[in-house]
Amino acid sequence: MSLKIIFLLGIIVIAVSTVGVGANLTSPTKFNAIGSDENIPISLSDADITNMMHSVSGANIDSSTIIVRNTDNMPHSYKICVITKAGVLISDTSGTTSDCATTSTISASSTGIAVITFTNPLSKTSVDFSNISIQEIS
Amino acid sequence: MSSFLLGVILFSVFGIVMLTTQGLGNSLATTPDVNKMTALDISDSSGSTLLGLNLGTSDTISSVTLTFNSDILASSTVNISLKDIDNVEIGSGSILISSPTKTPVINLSDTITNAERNILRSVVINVI
Repeated sequence: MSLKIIFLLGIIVIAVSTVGVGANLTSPTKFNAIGSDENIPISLSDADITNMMHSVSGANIDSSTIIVRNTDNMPHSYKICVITKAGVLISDTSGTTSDCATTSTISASSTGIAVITFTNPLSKTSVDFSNISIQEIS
Repeated sequence: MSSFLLGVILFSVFGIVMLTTQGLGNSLATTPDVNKMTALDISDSSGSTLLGLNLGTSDTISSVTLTFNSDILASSTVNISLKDIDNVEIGSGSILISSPTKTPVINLSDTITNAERNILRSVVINVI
């Protein structure tokens, strides 16, 4: 067998193996699968909610101001999302990230603010539930 | 000689493929902060619509200031219960309203510690 063919076969074998390893790394959907069978524990963010205040405009609650305190000794910024409910009605649109806001970078032990405007403002007389989520993004 | 050149070329191609693949792998690396998340549920069955919840900026929570859309009537009792991520109550309190108010301040019967505050998961408010 000629030297060319030996080289060619060797390269093909190694290249295919390498591509295989690379393919294994391209699996972000499972890595971040929250609440699935392959759930991965998620650490709590280094932030305390210190204050929540809904803002009323006319007959509706149209936005929410959230103040958080960075409890870490390093600066961080946070993406904060708020959903309110009034019975079966919700203020967010499923599948979007519209009802979120990101704080500026908050230094250690300091507070930062995020103002979230609701996609679907709900009546100020019937809102009975709010969910605030904080994701540490830096 | 030509075989040697062919070998060099093929190894070069292999090297490019390998480095490219390695690069794709590295791009998936995430910072330790990316997946850190916290959530707080606030349930209100007062009928007066809770607009504000002030837990304070200290490490611990000894009192909670509430803001309602409409007055809480005199002789009503506002109750609050705070639970952690395991649904265990870590703080509670109540206040008897003497005159109509939108901003009752409830002192908790047991101060929530710094460690407990980090795992605060839900706040339930009702008025009876």
